[in-house]
Amino acid sequence: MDLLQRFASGEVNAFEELFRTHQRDVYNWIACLTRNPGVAEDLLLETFWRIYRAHARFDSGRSFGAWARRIATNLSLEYLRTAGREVNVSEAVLGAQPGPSNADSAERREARQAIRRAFAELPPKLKAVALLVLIEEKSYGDISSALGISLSAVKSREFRAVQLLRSKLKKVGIEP
Amino acid sequence: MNESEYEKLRSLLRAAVPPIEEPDPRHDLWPLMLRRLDRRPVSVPWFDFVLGGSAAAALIACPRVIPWILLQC
Repeated sequence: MDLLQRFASGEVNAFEELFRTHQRDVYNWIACLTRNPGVAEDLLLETFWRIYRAHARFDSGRSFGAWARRIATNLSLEYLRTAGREVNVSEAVLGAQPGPSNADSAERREARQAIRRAFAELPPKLKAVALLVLIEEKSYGDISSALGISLSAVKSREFRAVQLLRSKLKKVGIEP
Repeated sequence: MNESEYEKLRSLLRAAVPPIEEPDPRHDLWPLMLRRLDRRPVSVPWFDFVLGGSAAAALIACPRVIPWILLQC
């Protein structure tokens, strides 16, 4: 019996092997979306907990990695929705990343803050695609399979995110 | 929007929201996962409920068997 079949039959050792093989990839994917290491760890555990609970339904002919990423993406989107409802949480999370230089002018810092604010205000689905395509430079194929949508839908969301960002930035006097 | 405008927006965005610096977990998460697996609630299979319900229904339908069952204990 191969690893995936052993996992599907509920063997914990097989699950451990899959966890150890895929944890980096899934963590990285979640961290790209949530941009918060603590949240990424929690969501990673939740992802694998759901995977373990659903072992009996897993079709061993399918890709385990793609399945794990899909679950992780759904959980991350849920997080982005919740974080977006709370006051400026996602902006705070985005802003928690250090900027490229401390010696920047106040004007540049303000511009960056305005961009972060505009970005944080994007709807979660557009924000997720914008993060993965524009910032993390993930491939359209990976994003499409993780979100469970077509390639053209990914490109369309990217286009809408860019348009929305541009119009928000124009309002605050930034013209890309 | 042309290519250069798109690239400019992208670089502005990457300056404001840099790519993540910690792409890997800070420590091995398997021990936490294992703890979570061990904590799972005990679930009662549905047929146990059916069995218990059937026994209760049988006792309600034929209460005269109760003393006999008690005698067997």
